[in-house]
Amino acid sequence: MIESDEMVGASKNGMGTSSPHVEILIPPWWAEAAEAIARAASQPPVAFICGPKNSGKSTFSRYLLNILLERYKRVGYLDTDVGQPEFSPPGCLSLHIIGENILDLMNTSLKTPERCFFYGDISSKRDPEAYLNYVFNLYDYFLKEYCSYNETENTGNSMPPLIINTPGWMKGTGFDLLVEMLRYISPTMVVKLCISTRSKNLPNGMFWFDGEQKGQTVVIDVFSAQQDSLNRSVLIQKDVRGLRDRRLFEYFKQCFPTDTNISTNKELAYALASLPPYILPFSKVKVMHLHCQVPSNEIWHSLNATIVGLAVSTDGTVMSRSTPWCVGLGIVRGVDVTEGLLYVITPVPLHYLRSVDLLLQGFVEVPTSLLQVRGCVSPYMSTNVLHRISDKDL
Amino acid sequence: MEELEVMGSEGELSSGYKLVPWSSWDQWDFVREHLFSSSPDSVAAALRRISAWRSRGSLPIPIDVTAAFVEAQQKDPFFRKGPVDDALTSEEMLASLYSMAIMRLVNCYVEHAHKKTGRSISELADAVGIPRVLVDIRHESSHRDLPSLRLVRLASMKALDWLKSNYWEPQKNAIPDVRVEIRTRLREMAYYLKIKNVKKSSLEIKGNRTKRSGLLVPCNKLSSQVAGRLHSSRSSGSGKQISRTVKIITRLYATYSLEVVSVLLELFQSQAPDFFGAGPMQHSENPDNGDSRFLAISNNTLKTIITKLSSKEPRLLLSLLKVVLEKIEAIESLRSKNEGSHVLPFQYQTEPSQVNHLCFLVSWLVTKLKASKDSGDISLINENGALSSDKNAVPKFSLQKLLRKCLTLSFLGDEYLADSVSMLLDMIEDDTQKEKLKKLILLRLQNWPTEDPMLLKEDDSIKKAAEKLEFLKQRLEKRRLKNLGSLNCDTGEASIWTVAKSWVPCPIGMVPCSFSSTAVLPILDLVDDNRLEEKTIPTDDLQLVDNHHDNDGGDSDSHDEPLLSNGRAAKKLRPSPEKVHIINLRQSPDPIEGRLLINGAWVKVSKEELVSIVTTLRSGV
Repeated sequence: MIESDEMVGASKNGMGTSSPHVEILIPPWWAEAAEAIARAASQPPVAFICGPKNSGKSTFSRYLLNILLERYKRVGYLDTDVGQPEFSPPGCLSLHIIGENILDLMNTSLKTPERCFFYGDISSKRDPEAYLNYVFNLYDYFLKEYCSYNETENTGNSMPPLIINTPGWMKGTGFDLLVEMLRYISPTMVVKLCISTRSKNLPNGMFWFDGEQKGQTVVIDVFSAQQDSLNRSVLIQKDVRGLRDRRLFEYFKQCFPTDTNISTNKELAYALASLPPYILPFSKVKVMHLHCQVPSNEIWHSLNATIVGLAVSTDGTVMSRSTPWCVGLGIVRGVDVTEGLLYVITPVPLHYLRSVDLLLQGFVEVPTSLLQVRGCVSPYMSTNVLHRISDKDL
Repeated sequence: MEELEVMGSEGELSSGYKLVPWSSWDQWDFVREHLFSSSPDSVAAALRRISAWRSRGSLPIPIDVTAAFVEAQQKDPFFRKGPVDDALTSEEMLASLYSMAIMRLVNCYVEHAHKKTGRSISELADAVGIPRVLVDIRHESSHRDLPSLRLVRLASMKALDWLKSNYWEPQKNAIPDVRVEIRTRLREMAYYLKIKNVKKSSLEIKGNRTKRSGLLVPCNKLSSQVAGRLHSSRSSGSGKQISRTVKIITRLYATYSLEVVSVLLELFQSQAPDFFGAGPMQHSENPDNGDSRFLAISNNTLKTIITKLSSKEPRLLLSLLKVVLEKIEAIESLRSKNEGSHVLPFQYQTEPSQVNHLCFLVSWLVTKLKASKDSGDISLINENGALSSDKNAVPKFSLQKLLRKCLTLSFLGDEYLADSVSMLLDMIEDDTQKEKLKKLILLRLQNWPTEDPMLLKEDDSIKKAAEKLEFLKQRLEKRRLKNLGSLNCDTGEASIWTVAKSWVPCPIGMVPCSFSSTAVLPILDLVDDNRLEEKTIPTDDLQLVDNHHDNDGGDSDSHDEPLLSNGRAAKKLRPSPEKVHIINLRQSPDPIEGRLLINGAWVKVSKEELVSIVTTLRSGV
């Protein structure tokens, strides 16, 4: 069904990107806003970017990143959008410290995070508490590691600015989460991206405080980049699932040296099936299910041929809730129960893997096109599946 | 009523793939059977499996909803036999559970269409035949009061019936039968081969043709398609058809290796001279196939088929060897059991010839294997040699495993097996092993016990067993040194993450079989403790072995941790087939307690020796 021959990931020549290659034009009001943030005040800004889906949060963040890099050596980037993370595979919350300009504003490439949590789902709705906990933890980590004002050798000058990118979920719980994040982080700048459909925009002003306003924070309303002749926002609809799959392709393509000639999904799928996996004894790892309970004797039924977060349980840093740092993702490509072995594919370098002793299972699915190369069709891809009521009966 | 759409065309195993949480339809059927069972334990097992499936994220909604109903009923004293903890389940709670399940059922089947078409929920529900009472309860519980327990309880039964007849039954009927497909393809091939022969010998074709059409008429849909194709392509030559069928079967083998191999064995066994008619081939199983004459594919044809298939897929030979050897093992262990109680004379008489027949097959397969090795179709690679993505590469240890299997069966004294052993030895090209083992076999053949094997020749056998143990120990030592070497690289700190030494392309979710390197479905079940007790050697023995084994790895953990993901669980496993022969012997009746059948004599074996054997067998995998 999905045996497409599309290119792996988002390649540089623009082939295989979801939308036709749109020349991105930064409107003057974006440039103004970014400049305002970069020039702002004495201390490096903590910029919180929010707004409805498809309003251009990510693109603005990337642009802002480039502008900030003109003034600062490195810029922090806290990514809280688990559905479409900027520099990580889906399901992750991560903190990046970036020192290089982003060349392609329309597409992003994967980067190794400074710190990462595997939340294990593509929306914060399943476990808002854990989600917030991860965000707060990452922010605390950033403050601790990069913003120690009191130490003389680590002066304000060396503290990097921070960009916080957020998901576009702004209704109900999504809004509540945004408010919680804003209250905890209390950024110096809040960039609200707005679209012409007013009902979808965030409320005016410092909506996250009820009643009295607490100084400092500057709120900038920025209109989305593209508009039609009637001043309506042109929203670029994204094939979200396709983007996620491509992101995972790109991620697992890192299992192979960069000069390996893999250009199509099929080639990658076959290469992954042929790749000698890591062998891991059951006895040395723990398995944690993030979003559901699985009976102990069913664990291998649950794990085989799924994506897991590779985490370190004995990190020493004691957190309020158990929040193991994640070093990357892996695919449990096979299980040998009689020998007590797991076979895992992952692009994470061995020196990081050494400390990994915890597998986190969430709901990040293996893209189906990775499972069905001719001659190597996964047993979890089945034919003759009854799946829904056909439309003709309704 | 055909409410559900089948993905992929009927009868074809190639198109319309969908991600599912089960690894085989057997798993699905296991859940279906247990979910509607009357035993609470069975139901619980099905619910556990479903929760594992749920964690994979691709669970079809009908299964999810069925599980919700069944789980609610399991909590309901009205349905559940035996004691239920009433204190924990109030009527309100049960009513909520039922109502929620009903809401989900109606919504999952109707909501999508409701949003799309704007037609009312009840109208749409009516169109798919969802009972009206369910729609009413959905409305009542979402907008008004919680409906009464009596009502929702009754509705839950209706809902389950609806789910059964609209999901479980139609899905069961839509499951493709791989074995039937394989059998059909094999028969198709036998048929083409026959045409080819007929043409070659230019016999009168006409007579055969009528016979042939008789062959194809009673077959199922798929075969009639085949027949259609056949008529149109008769001119194009059967050679082409044969290679086409070979291609199809090898493709089937890529996904269903075990099924292909077992169907082949089944066909072969149905030909066993003294066994014909009493074989495991159930003719009544395939009523469609009509005349059983046409099921029969002669041994020669079968050999031609295997030869042709193995030239395309050489590893087929190895998987076949494995199942044949396992079959012999199974028959023998059954026989040794029956011998003790002196019953079933019929089986006792028929089996040796069957075993003989199978042993002959072993030697034939090994000959073939050797031929393909000599011709370069199969390349043997060393375990730690260069990683090969060559499809036909076979690691040496696969042959060693086969050899070990043959050796354990050598007590049968079968000449074919002895031949096979020496041929395998030739292929492995290890001179020291060869000499030792060849002597061993010769010894064994000369000393075949002429009287009651029990308790006779004990000294002799012990000597030989010692030799064998020595051989196994040496291998073990070699392996250990090798492992140590690999661990000591890098920083010296042993990482639990090691890269597989040899690997062949293998679908994600499967593992390469250590015998044939063909992808096989892993067994994912852990065996219950109580079932383990009856089937395996005493648990303390197992523990002993395991700790021993673990210590090789460098660090030992305390063994009283019952933590599931902590490896202890992994030890409580169903023994893998190659361990079974030891295990079965241990549980045999009294006279042979504490003895092991070595070269035809029951020999007293100490715990240490047994441990050593088991460890070696394990580490050899």
